[in-house]
Amino acid sequence: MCTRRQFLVGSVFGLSLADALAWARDARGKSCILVWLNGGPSHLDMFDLKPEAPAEIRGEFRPGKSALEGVRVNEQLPRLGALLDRCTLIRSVTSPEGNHDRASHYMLTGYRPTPALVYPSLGSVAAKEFGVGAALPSVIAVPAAPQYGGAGFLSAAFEPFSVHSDPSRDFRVKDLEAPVDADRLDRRRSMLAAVDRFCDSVGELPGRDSFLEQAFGLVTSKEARAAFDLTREEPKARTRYGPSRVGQSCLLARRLIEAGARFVTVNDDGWDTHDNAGKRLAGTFNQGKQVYAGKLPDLDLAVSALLQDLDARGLLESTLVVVMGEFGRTPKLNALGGRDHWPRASSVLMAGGGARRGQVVGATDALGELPAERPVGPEDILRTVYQALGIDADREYRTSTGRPVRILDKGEVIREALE
Amino acid sequence: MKRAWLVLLLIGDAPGTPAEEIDFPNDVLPRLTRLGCNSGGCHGSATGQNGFKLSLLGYDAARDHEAITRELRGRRIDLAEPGKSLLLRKPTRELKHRGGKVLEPGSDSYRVVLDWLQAGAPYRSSRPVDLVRISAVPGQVTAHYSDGSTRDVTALALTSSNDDAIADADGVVKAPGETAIMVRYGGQVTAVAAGRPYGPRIEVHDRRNFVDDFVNEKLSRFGLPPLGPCDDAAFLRRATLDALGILPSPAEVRAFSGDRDGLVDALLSRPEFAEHWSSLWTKSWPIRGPEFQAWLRSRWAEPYDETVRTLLTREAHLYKAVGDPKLLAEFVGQQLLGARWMCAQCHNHPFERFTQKDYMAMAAFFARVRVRDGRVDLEPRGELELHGKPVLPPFGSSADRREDLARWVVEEDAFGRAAANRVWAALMGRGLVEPVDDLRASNPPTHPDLLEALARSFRKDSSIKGLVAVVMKSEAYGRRSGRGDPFYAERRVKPLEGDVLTRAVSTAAGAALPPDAVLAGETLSRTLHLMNSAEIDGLLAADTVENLYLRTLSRLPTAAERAHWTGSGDEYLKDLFWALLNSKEFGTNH
Repeated sequence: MCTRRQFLVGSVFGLSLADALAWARDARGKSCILVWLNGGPSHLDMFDLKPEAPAEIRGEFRPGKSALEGVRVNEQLPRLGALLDRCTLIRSVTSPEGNHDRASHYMLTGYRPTPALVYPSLGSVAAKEFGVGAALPSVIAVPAAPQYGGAGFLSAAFEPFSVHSDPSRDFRVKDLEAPVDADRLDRRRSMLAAVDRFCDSVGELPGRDSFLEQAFGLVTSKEARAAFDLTREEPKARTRYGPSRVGQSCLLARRLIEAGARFVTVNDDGWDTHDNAGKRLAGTFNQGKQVYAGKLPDLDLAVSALLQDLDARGLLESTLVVVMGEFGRTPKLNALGGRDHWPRASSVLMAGGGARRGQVVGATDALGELPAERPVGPEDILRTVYQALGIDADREYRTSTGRPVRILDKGEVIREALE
Repeated sequence: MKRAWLVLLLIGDAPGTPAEEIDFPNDVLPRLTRLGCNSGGCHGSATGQNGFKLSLLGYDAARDHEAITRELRGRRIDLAEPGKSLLLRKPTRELKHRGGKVLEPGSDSYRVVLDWLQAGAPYRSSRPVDLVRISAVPGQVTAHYSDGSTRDVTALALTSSNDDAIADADGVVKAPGETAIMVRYGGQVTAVAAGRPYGPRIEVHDRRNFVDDFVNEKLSRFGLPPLGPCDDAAFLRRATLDALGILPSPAEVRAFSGDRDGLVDALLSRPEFAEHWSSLWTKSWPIRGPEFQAWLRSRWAEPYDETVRTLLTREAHLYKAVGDPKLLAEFVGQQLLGARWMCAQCHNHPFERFTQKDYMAMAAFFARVRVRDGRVDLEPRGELELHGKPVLPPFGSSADRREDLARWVVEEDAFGRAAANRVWAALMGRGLVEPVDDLRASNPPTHPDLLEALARSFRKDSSIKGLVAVVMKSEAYGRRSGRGDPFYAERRVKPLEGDVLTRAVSTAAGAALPPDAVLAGETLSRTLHLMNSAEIDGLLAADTVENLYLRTLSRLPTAAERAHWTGSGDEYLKDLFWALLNSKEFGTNH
């Protein structure tokens, strides 16, 4: 969208209209890192502790210090607690969807699932609004997009680019390295162009041609490949994020945003803590041959390092970091010492990119069962994120049947969450 | 003519109705609908707006009347001072209204609502009539009532275009081509065609079977000259990919005599036909697993109606995969009859005459089905409920209700139409109705008579293979490829599906490429995989230029191509192989 003022600025400085438009877009061009806690993070064991509640509700964790007076977060999240004065914490998110798939659809698209249509997720809306990128794709998922984190009814061109590899172990983006040297790749490329030129049975295929161009750009661009190269980080920096998958994924996300990506999803598994919540969240936990590190210490290191690192590089103001999952967990511990699905109350953490500093929005009741004040739904969260990113959530898309569908058809911006 | 419609919409209106004859369903509700009050984004949404909920596009007039006149103890209307009613003060923005100002004080619609309030806001007028149906020609929508009367409701009908680039909702044609304009009024729906020819009428004679009569008629009328037939090698590759999901071998390419009908018959009698088509046919079905695929493959040569009846009544595959009666009904609608009944789960379909009650009644066929230990059991009793009342199937009296349903499904006209449309879409790259599972009055086929003719031919023997043969033996199927217009003047180019692509690479290389999920869709990941993966790189081996073309593009290189590829050596030929595998000609069915 070009306002009259932007247009005039463009003309005065002798820029072309296209330049002016690009400039106008860049001027407010924000990026987003979504840390998706797949499975449903426990609000009662993270940002919404209830130490006065009965034992079967408060669980085994104790509140630690936080930078905000009277805001109790788990003592297992000391670094994030200390950074709360730079974050917005929303503690009154509520939704009726308690099944992983349905809740993910609601939380990632802002629409409750319907059998007739899959809606586009935040990332794919960003791809459509910001463009899919040149050499470096603008929307990337690490290691892959969550269920319903894709393009929905939009074209597959807007699917996030999945790296299909774990940044914490022998990380290599799937199929990014050409198996031949640069000269030979060059020759292959011109041979391919010749094969295509001779072909008269197939006309232009815009989708395929743009994927091909993007693929060659990605493979041959030193900058793009460097963005994915975690070995270029100082060992100290890598340590700061922690050795976990979520830590190294957040580090990768920062590198990608720095290199120009606009929306990176860090998809972290292991939050569906139906049993042994204490151990799963904060302690080494063995199950068969698998050894799980505690989710909370990993997340604490990862996200605190991410916020500080973005800030130190001057990227925090333009990068919105959102930490959330599909729902919260039952206030009452179950017989296995875990918590089950609980969509009626959950928390969302935001920082940077226009999120207000030191803000707490809403609260749950004494047992963490329901919002006691300022209830907000997934559509309100998404509308707030879109607002921060400069995306007009009232824009209308068309489905394959021509049905007009707005990016969001409900929800209000949570004003106090934004600067 | 098309302009006339636009003008009519702006200035036309239903003839004035005396105040005592204004009733809610026929006069007030259509105006609320036209103003957008009950659209999905406003009060018609499943949760309403600001506590005020109306049925979507006014499908439930009685409930809407209740919501307006009774809810909140009648606070939405003021019969003592009708002009002070919230119903008027909100939409005129006299009071705060999030939906903005949608009603102009003093406008015709304002006056009708005011008159109706002054008359006491009755549901029915003193002389009630019911809307029976609507009819439309470009420029005019007519409502037909139970007493035989008609009314011009052009100004009150909602219209929307299936393709704005060709004609807009008002019927104004913007580009050559044809689309449908959906017309809705008072819960009724119909569609009219709008469009214009590309040029003066032409004669198109190329005909191989009845399919071409219908395709040619439209090409003639729209003045669109078709491309000629593709060459033999292109036909062999296209037909082998479509029928069997594999590439022809170099030996088959060299041996093909050009007898196209003979080729089609030979292809359709190969075992790969059942394998490819049973998998393609069920790609969007909820039933997964090798057991089901093997069962379906073994039945592929049987009549399709028998297979469907067996699936619904004697096999457990479907019931093991889908437990919910509502989802089972949706399966029957969408996959067998091409009808999206699921929209009616939450609201009456705004484009169709299929209600929420109809939806539950279809689900009721499955109300007593239970799966235990992989076997289907029928409970002796148990019903589904809607609004606290039991819902029964709409017909039938068999002990096993699924028998009644299965018999009905395969005898429905829609069963044949849906099958014909799917076959056409798989072969021609585009359904006569798009999306293929959305057959409804308001989404008409591009070639209605062709769809009927195909469905008629299918009804004789219920043979999918028969349908495939008819389409593949038509002139339209064998044309040269191009943009792929909806008139079939040119053959549409189709990207290869993931499984077909995997097989094609394997055939070309003479060694198996491991299946990989990233090949499934047209994405950047697929492009990178073909370009860079160790799996593809390991398959590259040098061969002669001629052989490489035969193995990948299923044709001999042209003279120009032979002259161009003069290099030699292992590396050069491997790179050419790579280039061919990544080419658009290889990656598509054209």
